[in-house]
Amino acid sequence: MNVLNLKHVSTAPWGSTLLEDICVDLDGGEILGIIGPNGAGKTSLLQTLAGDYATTAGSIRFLGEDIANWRGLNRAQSMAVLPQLSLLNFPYTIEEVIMLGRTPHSTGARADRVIMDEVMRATDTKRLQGRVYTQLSGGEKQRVQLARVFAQIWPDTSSQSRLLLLDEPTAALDLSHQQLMIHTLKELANKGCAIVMVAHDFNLIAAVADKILALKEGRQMAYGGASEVLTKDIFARVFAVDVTVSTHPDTGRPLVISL
Amino acid sequence: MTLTRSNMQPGRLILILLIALPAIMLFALGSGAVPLSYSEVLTGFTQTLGGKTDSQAAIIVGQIRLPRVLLAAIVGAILASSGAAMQGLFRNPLADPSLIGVTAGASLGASIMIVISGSMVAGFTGLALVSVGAFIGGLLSVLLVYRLATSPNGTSVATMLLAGIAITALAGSLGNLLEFYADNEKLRRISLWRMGGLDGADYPRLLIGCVVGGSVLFALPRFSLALNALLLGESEARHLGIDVARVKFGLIVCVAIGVGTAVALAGTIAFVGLIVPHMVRMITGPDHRALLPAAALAGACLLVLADTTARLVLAPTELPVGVVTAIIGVPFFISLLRKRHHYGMQ
Repeated sequence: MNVLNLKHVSTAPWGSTLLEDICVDLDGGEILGIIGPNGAGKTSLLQTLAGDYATTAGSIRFLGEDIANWRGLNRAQSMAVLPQLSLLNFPYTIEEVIMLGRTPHSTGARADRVIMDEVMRATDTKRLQGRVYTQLSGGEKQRVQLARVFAQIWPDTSSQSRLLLLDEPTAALDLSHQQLMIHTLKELANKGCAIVMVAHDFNLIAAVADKILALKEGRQMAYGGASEVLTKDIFARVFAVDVTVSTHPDTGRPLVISL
Repeated sequence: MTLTRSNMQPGRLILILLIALPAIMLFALGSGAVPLSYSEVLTGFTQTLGGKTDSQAAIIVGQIRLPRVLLAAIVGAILASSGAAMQGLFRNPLADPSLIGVTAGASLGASIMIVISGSMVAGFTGLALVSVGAFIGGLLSVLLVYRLATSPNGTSVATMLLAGIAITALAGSLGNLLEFYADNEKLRRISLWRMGGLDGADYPRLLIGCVVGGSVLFALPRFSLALNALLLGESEARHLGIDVARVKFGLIVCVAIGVGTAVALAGTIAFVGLIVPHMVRMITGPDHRALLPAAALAGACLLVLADTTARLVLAPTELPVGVVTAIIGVPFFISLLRKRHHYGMQ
């Protein structure tokens, strides 16, 4: 089922153009990786997908319906967004933070507790139970926020397709938690969830993404499978760097070696 | 490891406060220039309910203390729950209900009324006029702050905070200008009004307080889930399906009307709106479903206690209650500032 469809999308929330002519198509179960240098418009694209910015040209269809026509609550039941930076400054316990992810749903306390238990296991936050969010380390906070957005779109009895938007979810995570997250993302995708992920770790993107979008200055520089986008030539054009692209010995996917 | 949250269940705190509030009110009814025993208070109370108003206890309890104690409870509840809501909306633990300009605007409105009304309205009508002036002044300045912070892109709480500071400063200096031109008697009335006091309490005021305060206290908890999500950030709340613009507007209206009324009825009472939500949050955590009702109850308890203290300390003379809340509040607030990292806020 088609979850997300962008046709020639442009946005200019503050007058000047942030994104120009973006075309993306994502089905349920697919993972899209977004790469690009700082200020390329990766976060703006996620915000546009989330309905924060209106489009100035083109169309965004989410589950077949124009994104502007979605009511906030219905959209939140099918789409979760993990922001790059979290400013939560009040002493919630981590359970309370994760439970906020269930705000748009009215599935009842029992179902919510089951989901909380599962997302805590999926993010290894069980051991943080009862702790106060503001006293956690950066990586721990990131895992709690991940658990919150997982809880929001966690598969339940309804067979509705869902979309998860992640802005640099791995930036603060150690290697084992990165792998745990990748494992969970793949599981979510297997259950029909579409995922859009911004990251600077190309090898991580290469390992999970079905499609990759490379952005530079708000424009779409490349879009396709990992082996089509992660090439020496595109890295030179998008990032103005010289990299070696090899092949992962186990997965056969591209392996980007810089320096 | 520092303990930042007590282990008390929120429901238990609310239960304790529900028991404490009537007890404190009973104590307040018995205290004053003429001390009454609990049995005398109860006698006076039942006589008042029965319409018998000739005994001394019935007059003291029914006519003087009961409206005052109840008004203190309502005003305290409005201020504390409004403060909790503002801290949530602004995601700023140092926010208080006066932040959106309502208190300063109300002060200015009251000062204008005191100065222009002159000596002709010293009694009841004068008090009523001053209250109306305060209420209108408070609402007008919130309206101005809200308009200043609203652009086609929505209402920015950061701009609202700054606009609130600007309007507060403007209203303050206009108020000073009025004081400059006021004669001694008016000057005294202005400054007494600013210190806050519940000595004007009577049944008509109590009725207004109950109607407005009751609706505000009923409306605010409806925003609990939205406020919980808003603590994450505005766009996060939107992504959780909250209609942020509607919630912002609704909260500002509730707080403006509630605090505008509270200030009109009792003058500016410092620190209740700032400190009570903090005290409660330390026990219940930031979940507004528990915080808002618990803060309302705790605010009622604190203001009744503070008003009783104000009546007792220099009896038969009364201190302005704003002085008492500030004297209790400031040391607590300073200790809060010093311990903020323990409390779990950066």
